[in-house]
Amino acid sequence: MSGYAEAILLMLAINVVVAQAGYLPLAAGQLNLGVAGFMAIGAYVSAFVTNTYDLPIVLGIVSGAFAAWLVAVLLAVPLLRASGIYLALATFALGQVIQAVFLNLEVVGAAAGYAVKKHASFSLIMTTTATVLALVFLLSRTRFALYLTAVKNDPVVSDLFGINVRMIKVQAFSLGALIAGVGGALYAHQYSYLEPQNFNILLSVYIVLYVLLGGTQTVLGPILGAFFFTLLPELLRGSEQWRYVVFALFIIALMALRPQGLITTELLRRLTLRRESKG
Amino acid sequence: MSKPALLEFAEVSKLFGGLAVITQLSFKVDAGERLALIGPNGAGKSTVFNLISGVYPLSAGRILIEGKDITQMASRRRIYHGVSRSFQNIRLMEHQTAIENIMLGQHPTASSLSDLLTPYRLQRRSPWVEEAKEALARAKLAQYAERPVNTLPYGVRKRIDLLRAVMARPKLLLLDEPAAGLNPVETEELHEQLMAIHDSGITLLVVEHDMHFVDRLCTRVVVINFGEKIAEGTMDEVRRDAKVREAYLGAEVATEASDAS
Amino acid sequence: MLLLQQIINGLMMGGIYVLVAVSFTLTIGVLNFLNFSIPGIFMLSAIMAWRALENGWHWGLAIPFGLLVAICASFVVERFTYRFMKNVDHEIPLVSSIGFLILFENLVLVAWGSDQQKFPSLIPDLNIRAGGLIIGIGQMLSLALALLLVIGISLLLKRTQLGRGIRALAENAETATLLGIEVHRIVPVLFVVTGLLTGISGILFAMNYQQVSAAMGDVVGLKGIAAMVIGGMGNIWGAIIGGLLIGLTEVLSIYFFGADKVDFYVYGLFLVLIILRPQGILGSSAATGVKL
Ligand SMILES: Nc1ncnc2c1ncn2[C@@H]1O[C@H](COP(=O)(O)OP(=O)(O)O)[C@@H](O)[C@H]1O
Ligand SMILES: [Mg+2]
Repeated sequence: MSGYAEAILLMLAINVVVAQAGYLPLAAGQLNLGVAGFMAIGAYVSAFVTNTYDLPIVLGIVSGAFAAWLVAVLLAVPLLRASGIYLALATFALGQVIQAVFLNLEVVGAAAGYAVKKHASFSLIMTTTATVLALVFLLSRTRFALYLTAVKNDPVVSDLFGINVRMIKVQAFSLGALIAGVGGALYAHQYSYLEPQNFNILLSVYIVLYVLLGGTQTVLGPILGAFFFTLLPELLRGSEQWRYVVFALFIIALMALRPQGLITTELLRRLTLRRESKG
Repeated sequence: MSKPALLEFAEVSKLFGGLAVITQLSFKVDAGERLALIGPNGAGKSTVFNLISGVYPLSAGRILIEGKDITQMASRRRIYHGVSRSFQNIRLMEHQTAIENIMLGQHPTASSLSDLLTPYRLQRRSPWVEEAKEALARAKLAQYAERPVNTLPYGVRKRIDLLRAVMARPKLLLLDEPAAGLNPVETEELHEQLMAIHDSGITLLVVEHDMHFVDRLCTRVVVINFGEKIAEGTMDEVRRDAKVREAYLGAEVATEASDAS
Repeated sequence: MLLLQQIINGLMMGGIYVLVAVSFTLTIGVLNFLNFSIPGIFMLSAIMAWRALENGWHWGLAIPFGLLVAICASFVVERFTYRFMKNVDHEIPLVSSIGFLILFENLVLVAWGSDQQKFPSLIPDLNIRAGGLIIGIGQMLSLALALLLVIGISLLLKRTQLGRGIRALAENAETATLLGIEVHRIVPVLFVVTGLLTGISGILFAMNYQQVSAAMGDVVGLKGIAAMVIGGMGNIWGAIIGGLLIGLTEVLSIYFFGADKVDFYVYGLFLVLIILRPQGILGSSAATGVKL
């Protein structure tokens, strides 16, 4: 495989993982504009423990993901008092605060950035990505996934049917953070140098865009969104700015014409029906 | 001592802001009954349901289920004590299929952690899916099982909303205008469906405007107006009640009732 | 004394935030729509005025030109976001407006690059020096203009037919329609007003700091959001307090803690407030209620 193809695949793998981090909360109706903050936690924690204690990368990823999850769980209860736009704004502020913390944290280089000593192999990143996808896919086949939709759709009715709405919301939020932590850790061991600015609001916005572009009704949606986002700039010729112009036009058009995203359950259902009737 | 009533509404009042919507309302539902709660629009019938299911807190009074005071109980817990309900305005997950919507009603009987995390959609024959399909088949709705509910006709959606509530295997089922918007054929099917539900041991408390439907279905009627109880008894007794004629049934139905007798 | 000087600078900076915050707060308060294209419009008006000046236009033409572009841009945003937002999840229009932000910024990058460009100082660089304090006339004028504009908007909402329509719409879109208010006419007007306000703040910023760039809206826009939240979403007077408070917090935390920690304190304050008091300092008790 050429170096170029490998680099693209690695970028794709990381984007696919973080797309799932945006997807889980969105499936429960939470727009998390602080995903990049949780990625930063995963990235820095994994980098720090592997640098300092010479742990294997896998343990670094686990620690990073756990740290992101823990921060999310601790913050979820106050944070999820807000919903809708308020929650989007609160998570946005949280992302900014996390970024500002790393900007001032001397043990990981503060504004100067932090070198990551251990570099992840291609196969490790691919295996981790596959594992995350498999787990999210399994989760999407459970009642938990059904309840995410129910809570997003009508929290009052969900509550009356005995569902612990608060618990489902906290789980959706913190599992999203956990996956963001994994994505951040992969990023750290792939690009080998971390700067707080890498994890700014724009990154969170892009992650949310992958997901909404692909659609939040299925696990496949965010994956497709991530593919699209990663490959489109590579396919488009011209300067980076032109790519973004095309890309922005695409977002605007899609949200206006197909707000539910490219892939919907309805679409998948029709595709499977056609296959069955042919077979 | 006799067994306590399945549901007791004891001197309940509810104010919204300063507005009294329910005032000192008391009534009982005995196990095995088919009780209708009727009254003109805005009388407070849906509010009674919302108080029973815990959507709003009470301003005064108590609500008991089998003698147990549930007044302070969290709304989420009440379904585990045998109360489930349908909604006047259908409240389904619009993009999900009929099966998935009905499965929400299974939650009280499938609420362990392992239930939550079983990838049932990968199983060839999930007992939950099978149960939902059977319920749909019994209601003669099998053909709609895999369709997203926003593509289904109103009457079908209405009965999916009902099936979801039944799926929780309640002792007491609260139905808020189940026949509203149904055509005569559907209304007849609904009647049979509700009788079958009752035969399976579920007590019914029904809010409904269609008096013929109420007459056929229910054994007893409670009439409220402006949040106060104005009459209680069999449909015939209630019909003859002067207050009911005047306050609720109105001239048209009053003459209809006297024609009938 | 230095501290007092910082406070004055903070208030001046706050004036810019006030206008941006009012733009945000109007679309949130009336339409429950977080319009992320506002930082883009802020930048667009300043950049277009700069282009006009570079082409030798008189400032009396260049500034209206910048404002006109801002208004048109805001109008286009309305066509593609609010119009499609009925019956969709609340994040959809928000995401389209982010699309517009990316679009505006990258169009400018394509055309004129990412460098900081010098914006000529149109107001004579006069200062008032009083007891060792320096107060820029230009800054003071723009703070005064910002406050006047907000007062004007508030009067518009209270006194005019249009204002009553906007407030009815903010209260409840359905009721407004029932009352015979032509929602489809009012909404575009609202976008024109917010476009104008944002445009003015962009040009004021350019005049005071004498520079423009494609990214100039980002930081100001984010601070504007923070100001809106702190003052209470949908509350115009809250936007004034929030804007000035953010300006102050910013300069004071630079003064006391250093520039690297500014974001931590500004957004920390924002985060704590939105959790503990989502209605903001001046907001009404219902977080989603109307406070115009
Ligand atoms: N959440 C609420 N807030 C304020 N008033 C309410 C609320 N819910 C119901 N009401 C009022 O209570 C009265 C009874 O409503 P409802 O119970 O829906 O009547 P019914 O179901 O008998 O037609 C109506 O006047 C209605 O406006
Ligand atoms: Mg009702």
